[in-house]
Amino acid sequence: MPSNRQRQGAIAADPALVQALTRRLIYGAGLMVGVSLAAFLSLRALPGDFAEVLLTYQMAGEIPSQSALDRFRSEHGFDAPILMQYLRWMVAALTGDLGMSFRSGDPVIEELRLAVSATLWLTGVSFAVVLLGIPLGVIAALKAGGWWDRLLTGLAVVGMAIPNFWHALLFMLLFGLVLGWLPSSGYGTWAHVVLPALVIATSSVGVVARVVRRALIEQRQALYARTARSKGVAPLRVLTDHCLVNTAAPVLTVLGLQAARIFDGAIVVETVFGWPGLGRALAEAVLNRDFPMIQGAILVIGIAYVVINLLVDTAIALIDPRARASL
Amino acid sequence: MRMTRCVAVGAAALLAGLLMVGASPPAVAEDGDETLVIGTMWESLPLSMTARRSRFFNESEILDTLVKMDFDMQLQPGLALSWSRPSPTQWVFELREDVVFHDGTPFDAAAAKHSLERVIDLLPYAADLLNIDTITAADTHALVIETNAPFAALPNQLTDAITGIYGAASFDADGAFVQPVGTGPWRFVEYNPQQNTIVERFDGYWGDLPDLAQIDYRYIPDHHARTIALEAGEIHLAANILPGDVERLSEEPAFAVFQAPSAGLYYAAFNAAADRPVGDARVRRALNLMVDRELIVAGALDGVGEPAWQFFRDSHDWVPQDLPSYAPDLDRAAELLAEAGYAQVDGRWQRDGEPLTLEILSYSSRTEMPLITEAMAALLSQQGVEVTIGLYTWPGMLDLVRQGDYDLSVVFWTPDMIGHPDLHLKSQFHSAAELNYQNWAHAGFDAAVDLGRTLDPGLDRDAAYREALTILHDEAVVMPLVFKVYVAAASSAVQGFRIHPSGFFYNFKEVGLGG
Repeated sequence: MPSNRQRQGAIAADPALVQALTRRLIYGAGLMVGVSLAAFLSLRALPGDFAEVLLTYQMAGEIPSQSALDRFRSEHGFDAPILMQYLRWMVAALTGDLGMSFRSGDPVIEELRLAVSATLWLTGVSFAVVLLGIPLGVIAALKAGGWWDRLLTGLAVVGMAIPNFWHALLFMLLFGLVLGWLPSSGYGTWAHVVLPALVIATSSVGVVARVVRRALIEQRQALYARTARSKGVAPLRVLTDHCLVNTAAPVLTVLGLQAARIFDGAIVVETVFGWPGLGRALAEAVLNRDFPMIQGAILVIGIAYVVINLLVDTAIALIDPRARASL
Repeated sequence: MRMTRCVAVGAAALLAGLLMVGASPPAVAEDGDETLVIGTMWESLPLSMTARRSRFFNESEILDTLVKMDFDMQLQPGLALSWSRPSPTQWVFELREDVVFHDGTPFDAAAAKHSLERVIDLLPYAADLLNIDTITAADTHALVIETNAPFAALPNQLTDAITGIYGAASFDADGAFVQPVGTGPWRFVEYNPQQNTIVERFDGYWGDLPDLAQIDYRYIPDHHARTIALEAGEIHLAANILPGDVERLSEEPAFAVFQAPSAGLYYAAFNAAADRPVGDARVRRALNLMVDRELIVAGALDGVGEPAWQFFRDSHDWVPQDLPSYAPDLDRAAELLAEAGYAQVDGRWQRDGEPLTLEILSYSSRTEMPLITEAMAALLSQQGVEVTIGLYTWPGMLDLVRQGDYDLSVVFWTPDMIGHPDLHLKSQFHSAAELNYQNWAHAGFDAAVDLGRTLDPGLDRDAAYREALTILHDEAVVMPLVFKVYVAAASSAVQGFRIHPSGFFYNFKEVGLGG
């Protein structure tokens, strides 16, 4: 096995890796265009006339006449081919102009900025909790078959099986009402972030722990690990320097997937806990047909997915040379 | 094994750390007794003069209207002390003196004119509702309003939240709305998007000063979360709690549950277009006779609601008292369906081999709406009518209703919102009404409504509206279902709280925090 230092040297000098990562970046950019197109087209594909919905909103709910509608369509380019409309929207989006929110009348980009910062706070803490799955999985692997392993597996299944909104209510009841340790809902202090973050994390922490456990058990049974142990390498060293490093690829992959899932979880959890983040902004926008806001939120979430995947792939490639070939 | 211990200790430390971070006490109001914290389901809206948000400015009494509605739904002086109609199209409002806006500027006829004109400019439908042609400040405290046509309901219409009076400081130099600056007992302090709105007592208020110093309207959209926040002591009052929580909280001495029957009505509006099965009035009457409203209230709402058999509560002289009831009568319903050409085959109603099928639309944002809709559909299905239910968002449902692709849409309105029948009869059922998506038109009804709105309160006016409402009832244009009972729960420290029957008025100026 090459040492860590040798491995790092190889990365810097590996033009194939640089090329592969560049290729992934280009794919990523293409994917973002795809996401933006989906965000744009999905709303246009809904039943009902997009221009009419917009104009009705502007007229405070009054039904516009046909002539007013025709004028509005031509003034705002809604009579242009759909691809042309997309290009215009995209060019504006690239300059940070995602339109104005129907509900607030404020720029969508400004609304998103506030919502994204609240969501990053929540998802960041959630992700930190999800990372607990790594040590928990390691313990389960080391104690495979023992009570700790069975307890963890049981908790993981429960965590995955109970839907987030139900978790949320149970946590509110337990920590907010029965124990009185934490505020049951709201936003603003560190105390407020704990419950929603735990709720989002519960469904993912078990998944991560199980993947870590399975991967580590496999690695510990591999021939190289047995060889190292028979050569007299300390068991701790075999674990940290050899086995754990080799579990990195599946663990990073699952962490990437769970990071993306955290954004999904935030939609329900933010609504239940009254957290003013991206998930709730999207839910409110959908309920109020705030089309510019929906498009903006889908775009941001889509980009987050693409970026997370890119980061995960890059990290795996850096750690595991075998993965570079598949980049 | 040292490794295992290290990992275990690390994990425990991280979890403990997270809990420690969160272990600070819940964020209850810091000012102690003087700040009332209320959990609401609506207040996520950005600051604006749109209809929904201005309703909040009115119900929280940041703004005052010229005319107000008391707890018996009778007109009361607001910023106007008295009003009269010297000619059919002219109204004169004598305004209160010694009233100041929250920024200290005086309130007078010019300020009222400026605010009303501003609202009419901004909200096109306000012009239709108010029928105002011109507004003139006749002297400092006399406001003269000319209406487009004789319009007796203007004082009632001026109780509507959208007519709340905004001071000039509500707008910036370019005339854009900034924040509500009114004359009410509560001054706007801050709005945190998606979180809360805070108001404080305005010591220059023209009426009796409130006891409370501050009110924090906290936005908790989830119905369960709102109740839990109340029980956990994070808020003092939870508005619109779930029917299922009413009995439980009523039994706990630490809480008080408030219930007030209201003018808010859940009803099913029929699509009376000729090509729909409910285009036939006999079918609409039969369906009305099939649905036991008592059962809906008891079964779906845990008793929190009042069965509704007609469009308005019968607390007004203009509501007909002797109409034939739509109380459940399955035999009569069967007769009516048979007259309309339907026959029962294997317990299901059909005509020409086609089952009687109803597309029912509704929306889920109101607490009781899905429960009521599903209960109504279940009762119809039990009587052999095929039903499909579509639950949408409010605008989503409205889209389908506008397209006419439905048989019943279950909606919630407050027909009695302004204490006058004109608003809803004219805007929902009149053949010329923009909101009439029911494809129902009746010349006699139109004439009675058009006449009623020109007449001053009195026997003639009452007779006109009784005639209109009789036609509405006989034609079974709607299926009234449940009069909403507004419910709120508060900690026992909250004193003096009452629910206003309109559902649009908190009246916190009479509320205190004791204990």
